[in-house]
Amino acid sequence: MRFILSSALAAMALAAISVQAPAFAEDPVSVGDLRIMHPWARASAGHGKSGAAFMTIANTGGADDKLVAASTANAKKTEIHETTMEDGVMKMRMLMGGLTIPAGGEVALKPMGLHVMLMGVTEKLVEGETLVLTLTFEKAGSVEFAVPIGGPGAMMAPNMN
Amino acid sequence: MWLLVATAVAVVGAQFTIRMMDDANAPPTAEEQALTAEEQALTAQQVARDIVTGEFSLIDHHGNAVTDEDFRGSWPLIFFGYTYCPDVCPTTLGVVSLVMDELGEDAAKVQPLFITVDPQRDTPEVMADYVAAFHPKIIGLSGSLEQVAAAAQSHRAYYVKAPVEEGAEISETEYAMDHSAYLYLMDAQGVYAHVFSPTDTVEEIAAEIREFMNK
Repeated sequence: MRFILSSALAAMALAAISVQAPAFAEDPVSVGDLRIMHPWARASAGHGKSGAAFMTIANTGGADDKLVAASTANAKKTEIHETTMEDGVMKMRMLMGGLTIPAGGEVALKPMGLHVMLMGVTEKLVEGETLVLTLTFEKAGSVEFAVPIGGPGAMMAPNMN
Repeated sequence: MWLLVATAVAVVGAQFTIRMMDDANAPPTAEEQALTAEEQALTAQQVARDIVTGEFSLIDHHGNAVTDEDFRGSWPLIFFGYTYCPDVCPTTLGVVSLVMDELGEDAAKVQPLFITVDPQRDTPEVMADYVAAFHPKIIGLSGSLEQVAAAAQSHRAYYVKAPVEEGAEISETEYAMDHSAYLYLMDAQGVYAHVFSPTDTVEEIAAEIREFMNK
């Protein structure tokens, strides 16, 4: 399955969405057996056409799940990307086939590793504001949540500093 | 002498990749094995100084033509990247900004330079807006494709345009740049001093810069 969410798929996902606005940023966002913890994004620097969001996704269930798509109204394309370093050379590529969230385990999306990549950001991401992001999982379905925006070179969620 | 250089290049190879050196893969020799670790480190440093010449002729984010010689007297801290890079470049520029804060008064002697490997999209104006988001002292450098290639060559930095999706075509506007992610420290005379990895901590980098400056 391609990781780019087509507009048709996005519409379907939106129809079946469970929207969550946690009372406190520290509260995990729940969808099925999954818990999304400490989501955050980096503020745009300059033109800000590219953006990145990070978080930790825990699976409290007994079966693996898979993050298969991401979307936001604030970017033309949203993909899951992986940064790798090989002999000191940094490469960034779209993660093909989805990101498995193992049963009873957790996956951290963090700088120099995995991130939700926003391509063609339409409205600059501003520090202190939030970005609304939708993630779609194979089993748990879709969930929309607010992502706090930290500084342009931030290394962790603003509320964890 | 040639053997010694080849040997030392192999040693440097362990420290950072020298993609453009023909001798980088020279097999270890008996002579290499005879060198002590200290001798190897000294030789590696000498060879790195010889091959990382750090020369460049670029356009700064104010639109002025500048060369490496314009920065004599300060310690350039150089990173190659591009403004469409969402992860490693903001991470590294964030680290550089924190290093400057950590250095306190000593930061006055350090000049961070961010050289784009994507001059097609990163014009001086684009660079100006980008670096301003991180630290007021960072200077963004762009130039022609040839100028950027020459600057990378003199630092033995590698970069290549790549599709975001493995195996896909590279579109005109949507592509990634694979690039060396080292942070180079040059001394006040423009001579190579050290390379940091982007995974080194702010405290480690600041402490080492201080050590080099106080030598």
